[in-house]
Amino acid sequence: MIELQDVHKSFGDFHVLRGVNLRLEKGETLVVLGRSGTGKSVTLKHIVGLLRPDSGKILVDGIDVPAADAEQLRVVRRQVAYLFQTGALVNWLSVRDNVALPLVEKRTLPPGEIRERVDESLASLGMLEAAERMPAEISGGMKKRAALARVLVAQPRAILYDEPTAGLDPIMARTVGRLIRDVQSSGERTALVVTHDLELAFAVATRIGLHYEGELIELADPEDFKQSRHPIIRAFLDGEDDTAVEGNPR
Amino acid sequence: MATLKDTLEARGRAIRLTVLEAGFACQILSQSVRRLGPDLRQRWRFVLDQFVVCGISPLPVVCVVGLFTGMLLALQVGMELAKLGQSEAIANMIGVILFREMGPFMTSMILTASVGSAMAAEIGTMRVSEEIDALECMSVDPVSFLVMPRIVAMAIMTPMLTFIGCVLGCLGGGIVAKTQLAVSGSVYFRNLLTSLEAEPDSLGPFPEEIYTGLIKAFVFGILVATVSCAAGLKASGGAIGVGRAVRTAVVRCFLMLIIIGYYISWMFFK
Ligand SMILES: Nc1ncnc2c1ncn2[C@@H]1O[C@H](COP(=O)(O)OP(=O)(O)OP(=O)(O)O)[C@@H](O)[C@H]1O
Ligand SMILES: [Mg+2]
Repeated sequence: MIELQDVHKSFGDFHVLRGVNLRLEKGETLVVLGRSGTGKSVTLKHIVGLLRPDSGKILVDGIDVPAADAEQLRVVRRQVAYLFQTGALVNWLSVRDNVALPLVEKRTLPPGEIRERVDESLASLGMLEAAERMPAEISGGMKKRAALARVLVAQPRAILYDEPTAGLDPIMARTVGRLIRDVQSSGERTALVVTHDLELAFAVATRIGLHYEGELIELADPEDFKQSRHPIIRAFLDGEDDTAVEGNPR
Repeated sequence: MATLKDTLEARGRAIRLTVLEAGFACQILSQSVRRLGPDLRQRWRFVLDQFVVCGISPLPVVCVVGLFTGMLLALQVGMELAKLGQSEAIANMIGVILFREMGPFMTSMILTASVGSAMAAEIGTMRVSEEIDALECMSVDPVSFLVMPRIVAMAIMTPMLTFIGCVLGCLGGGIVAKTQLAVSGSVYFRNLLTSLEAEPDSLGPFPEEIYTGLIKAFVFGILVATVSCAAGLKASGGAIGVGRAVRTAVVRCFLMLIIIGYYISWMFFK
């Protein structure tokens, strides 16, 4: 349902994406690993149309995202939700109002049902006690969880998670991992998870890829990925400095 | 030679950018007007919040500035009039100057500095912290969500504050007239009311002096909100970008207020 073909993107002289290719079928959970600053968030922003590629194709359910008009973009964004790395909660709305926002703005559900679904979503992430607080009054990890609740409450068909467990304690990280697996268990939802958290990656993935030097290298099953002989992947999995890897162009 | 070319290029770029941003401001204004019908009921809570921000918070400053502007005017103009033996005409001048020109201009300046700058900073911060991107991802229109309530609130509150400021200014003028110019209170207020009286060809019960000032304030309110929100939405590059957006907003508002203010007066009084 999501397809990227040879996507390039530069910011000024800085060539961030150098030909990203990926294909994501319905029901899949693709995990993308990669060092900080390699362009993972930039890739996700292209899928929801927040950034335009310099060249290449991005298709979501057959809609050409960079060329989409406002109505098509709305269709894409209704289906594909994006969990921002920073959470990006609206700072002058309480946690509850933030989570309710996507439902309220849709204007199709009665207030009672919105409240029910918001409470359920908050409760699944242990955020019910903090529901009335403002984003400035909660911790970084709590913001992340509130943002995740806001993404899940709209029940989108595909979710792009940008580092869902960054800033969470190990117990909470495992809860989030379980939650992602629950969401995926129906087989109806598609997920793209960007993370540095190897435990999460192997817990949820149906396929794993590594973002390196502006490209996605080696998209494989988790087991194959673990056994990969690719020097860059070995370095990443074993936590070595990849500048020492032979054949590294840097 | 290269330096001349560079300078010209830089100027050209700056002009192009300014034109583009003016276009953007017009675009969000027309978009806000179009969203008024379908969205206002749902955004009523935000509009009420903005009423407090735009109307209640700046009220003390507007009162103090209004009062002292009236006193200052009465003092300066009164001394000149006294030389001509026309002290009693002070009331006519104060009313007309305040309601026609000074009131709307002064109030909008205060609102630019206190409310417009805050709008640019708030929206700019939301822009650089990806909150506006997040809104777009949820198919929430940032213009309807953020800009429209602010424009509505400013369009309503600016004329009200202007009126209050002008009334206080007239009061301040009266105090100075009585204490410094030996014009009695009853004469001052009788003259004031005559000078502001509705003429037969005026719109409804409002004297022309007052309604032109209030129309001006209405336009200024929309202007300040639109320019400030536009600057905020265009912010980029972290805290520095937010600072730049605030400065841009304030400078542009000041310039536009004085220029547009002149043309509105020209339309009504030429
Ligand atoms: N709007 C932008 N303007 C200029 N450069 C940008 C912009 N967005 C991202 N970049 C650059 O693109 C590169 C990739 O950024 P990105 O946020 O995608 O990294 P990332 O892989 O998500 O890293 P992390 O794991 O730390 O989140 C960075 O070096 C960043 O400096
Ligand atoms: Mg990132």
